[in-house]
Order: sequence, then C-alpha cells, then structure tokens
Amino acid sequence: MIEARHLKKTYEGRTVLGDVSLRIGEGEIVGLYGPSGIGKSTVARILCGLVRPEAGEVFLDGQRLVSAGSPYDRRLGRAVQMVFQQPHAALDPSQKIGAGLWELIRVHRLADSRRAAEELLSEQLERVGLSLPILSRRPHQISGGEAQRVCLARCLLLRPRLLILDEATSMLDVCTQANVLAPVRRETENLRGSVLFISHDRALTDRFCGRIYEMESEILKEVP
Amino acid sequence: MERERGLNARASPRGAGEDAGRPYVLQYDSGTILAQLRSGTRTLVQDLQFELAEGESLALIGETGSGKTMTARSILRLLPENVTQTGETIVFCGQPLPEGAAMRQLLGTQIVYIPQSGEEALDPLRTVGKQLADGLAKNGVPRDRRRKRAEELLTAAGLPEAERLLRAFPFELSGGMAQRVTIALAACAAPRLVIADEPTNGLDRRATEEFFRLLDRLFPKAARLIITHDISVAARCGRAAVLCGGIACETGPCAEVLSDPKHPYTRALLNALPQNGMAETPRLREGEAMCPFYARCPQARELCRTQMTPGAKGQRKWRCSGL
Repeated sequence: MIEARHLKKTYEGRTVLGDVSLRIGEGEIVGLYGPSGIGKSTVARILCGLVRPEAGEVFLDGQRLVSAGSPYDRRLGRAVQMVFQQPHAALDPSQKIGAGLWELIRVHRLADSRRAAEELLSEQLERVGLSLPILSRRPHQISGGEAQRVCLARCLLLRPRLLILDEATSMLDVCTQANVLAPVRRETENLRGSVLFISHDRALTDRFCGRIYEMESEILKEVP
Repeated sequence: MERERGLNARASPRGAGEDAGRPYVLQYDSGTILAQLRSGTRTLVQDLQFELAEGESLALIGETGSGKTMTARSILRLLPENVTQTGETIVFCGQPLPEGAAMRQLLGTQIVYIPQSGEEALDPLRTVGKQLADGLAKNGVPRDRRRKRAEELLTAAGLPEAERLLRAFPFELSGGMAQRVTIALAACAAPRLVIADEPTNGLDRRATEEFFRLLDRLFPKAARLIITHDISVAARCGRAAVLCGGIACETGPCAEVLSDPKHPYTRALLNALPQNGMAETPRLREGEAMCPFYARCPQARELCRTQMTPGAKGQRKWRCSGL
C-alpha cells in the first residue's frame, strides 16, 4: 500500500537517513524501532509531508506521494495521518476540543449536515473511549491520555489509509497506553487501514506490531 | 463514608526517627491535599504516609492524575495556588519542614528536584553555564571556582564538551542532554533528599539506564523519592507505594509488590504492560465509592463502596475489600 524507496536525508551535513526503504501492506501494523535520535521521526515526517527527502521516493497505492524532485501530493497525502509524542503540543491551547474537531469536519467536508456531523463526532469519540463532555474543554483541562485520544480521533475522522504513531504513547502510563492502543487496533481492522508504530520500546513494539523494522545508523532492516 | 488512616510505606519495626540505625531523612504524612476547582473541591491526595532513610529509595507508582506530583510538590512546599494541604506532618532530618524563606534555603541545597522534562524545566533565556553558576553560588562555591566546578559537573553527568555546553542555551540540547543538565544542576548541592518526578519519561532504555547509574554515582547517600508510572523504573527502587486516585492502595518492598500484587489496581497496572498482554481497564460501573479503583475494578464488591479493608503480610500492606 505504501512504499518508500531509497530515502536519504541529511541535517547540517549529518546523514540521518542513508538508504532507507520500507513497505507497509493494507491492514498491517508495522513497527519502527530504534534508539532516540536515530532518525525514526524523520522517516515519519517524510511519509506525512513535513520533510522532503534529498533522494528516493514514496508511493501510496502505486501513486507517487513525494520524491526528491517532486513536492508532496497534499491531496493524496490526506490518507496519511500522524499522532505525535506530545499530545498537548499538538492541540491549539486556546481552542476548545470540540471547536478543533468541528473545524476539521468543516474544512474537509466530512459530513453533509450538522446532524450528520454530530453523529460522526459522537461515534468517533466513542470509538476512542471518550465522551461528549470533553468537547467543551480546552487542552489544559484534560489529561495526557485524553489529549492523545483526541489527537487519535482527529486523525481517524479522516479515515486514513496509513496512521503513523510517532512515540505516541511514550509519555503515557501503562494503563492509558493500553487504553489508547486498543482502539487503534480496532479501528485499523474496521477501516482496513495500516499503522506505522514508531517507538524506542522494544517490548511494546514486539507486542503491538505484526512486523518490525529496526533502525540502525542511517538504514532500516526488517527484524525476522 | 468513613476514611481510615492511610497505609504507611514501611512495616518494619523501627525507632521514632530512624530505620535500622540510619536516620530518617523524611517522614511524610500527607493529611489531605485539596484542589479548589470551578466545579467544586476535589481531593488529590489523602493520608499518604511514608518514611525515607538515608540511602533509601521509594517509588511512588500510579497513573497520571493519581496524586504523585502533588505529593512531591507538597514536600517542596510548591503547591499551586488553588491547592491546599491540611493535617499534614512533614519532618525533614528530624525537624518539621519549614516554610517561606527557610524552605527556599533548603531547596537546591538539602532537597533537590529533578523534573520530568529537562527541556521545559531549564530557563530558556539563560545559558547552561549561568544556570549552573546560580546553583553553585547557592551552595557557597566561590565565584572564581564556579566555572571549573560547572565543567566538572557536566562531565560527571556524562556530557562531553562541557566547555562548549556552558555557553549553550537549552534549545540547543537534545532531550537526553537537557535531562543530564538537570542532574548536573541537582549535583551542585550535596542533597539529603532527591525527588525525581518522572525523570525518564520519553527517554529510551539506554538513557534510562544511564540516568540511574548517574543517580547512584552522584547521590550515593541521599534518600530518593522516585515518582513514576513506568514499572521498569519503579523496579529499581527498594520500596513502592502504589497510588490510585490519591490513596495508597498498596505498599511494600518493590520486588514483592511487583511480583505478587495484592490490590487489583496494582494488578491492572502490571497487566497493562506490553509483556503481560496490554490489558485495557475500561469503566465497568458508575457510582461513588471509597476505593478509587471501584469503577474499573473487575473484583469490586458492594463493600468497596464504603470500605477499603486493610490487609498486611510481612512488610506488605494493602487496602482492599474485594479480595
């Protein structure tokens, strides 16, 4: 479904990605494991269009998403969504949770009517284990686990083909981590989407992912 | 609901101010810590008691919002404005913990705090060198020796190129480097008590290992209060107190608590670990109860609504009416 070929990226002369290739099939939960600072997030950022590779290319369902010579295809890229490590940093501190989600529904025209939008929002919140009163709160009024589930709901509203979780649970306690990852697995099965799960926690990656890539100085290798 | 007194995170016989000949650094009884919110008053911590002797370590384990950080802030006398503490007894090195100016003198000298995020805790507008110089000045290091001592501390904290780092601003540091700088800041003093609040959150396993090696090396005699939701971090401590909704539901030697948990909440924490299957803890029932885990507890009984029955075995203590 998504395939990255021979990606290369350097920062201020330091090569972070030397020759990175990976492939994620439909419905797969694929892990990307490696120590902090090795370049895992750079791979994620290339896949969702935040960073442009210096060499190599990325294809989504056979169509070019980005390459060294062509910019990120934003229309196609809507199918790739990412949940970040710090949920509170990913939410607008001045905006109520509901306002942020409504904006998303409006901008992407995800519902035909207000009633349909309300139903969509309510269903999505329930799927990630949240309830409607959270819509009237601001980010500082909710816990890290709730904020991360809001970020997850925001991504899932767009029904992504590929959901990237970049250390998305590393700041959460173990119960909250389990409560965030369970809906990810359920929704992946429902939507037939795929997940790229980035973590420095090997035990977690082993447990949650069907297939794992390990990152070692500039390259990726698949763990047998 | 009548609330019984909390668990003490020590069950061994002891004298009033010492443990096996080692003097207590901290004797803590939280009393009640309350937050005034727009929606009303909320109890954050209730009757949490523990003692820490020289060289000992205690892990405060619990989910986000279980009252761990508020406990630490009450020891630092740095509770937020809308939070009050009543009925507390906090004894530091045999003396009641002071307030005001006397307390500020203890902070950064006798009591040091290592925060969760080094990047956020450092002053973004001042270089690492200036921040270290402040800490050294507070501990009486003469001006002409501060620079050399700051370099030594950064090197001891495992940071190479100390001279260059002294001129660096916090935004120039990685997360792991910033965390080491906060350790170097703590090491400006020779503290009796180190409080580390989720110190390895977001760090990988190698950085976590290194953090604890540094603690052992730099503060071998200090009592340590480690606040964590990471079970692998808690396992490095001698004793543990498991907090749920501000109440200690289980205490005892860490190895025993983690290998043979008594309270269903402790079991839920352990079952949620990846190696144990990442079990969810969904809400199972509604209603107010004395046990803060009642709504999610698979073993809850009617009695749990009004009581947390105390139990004890050896150095272990727990409070649960569902067992």
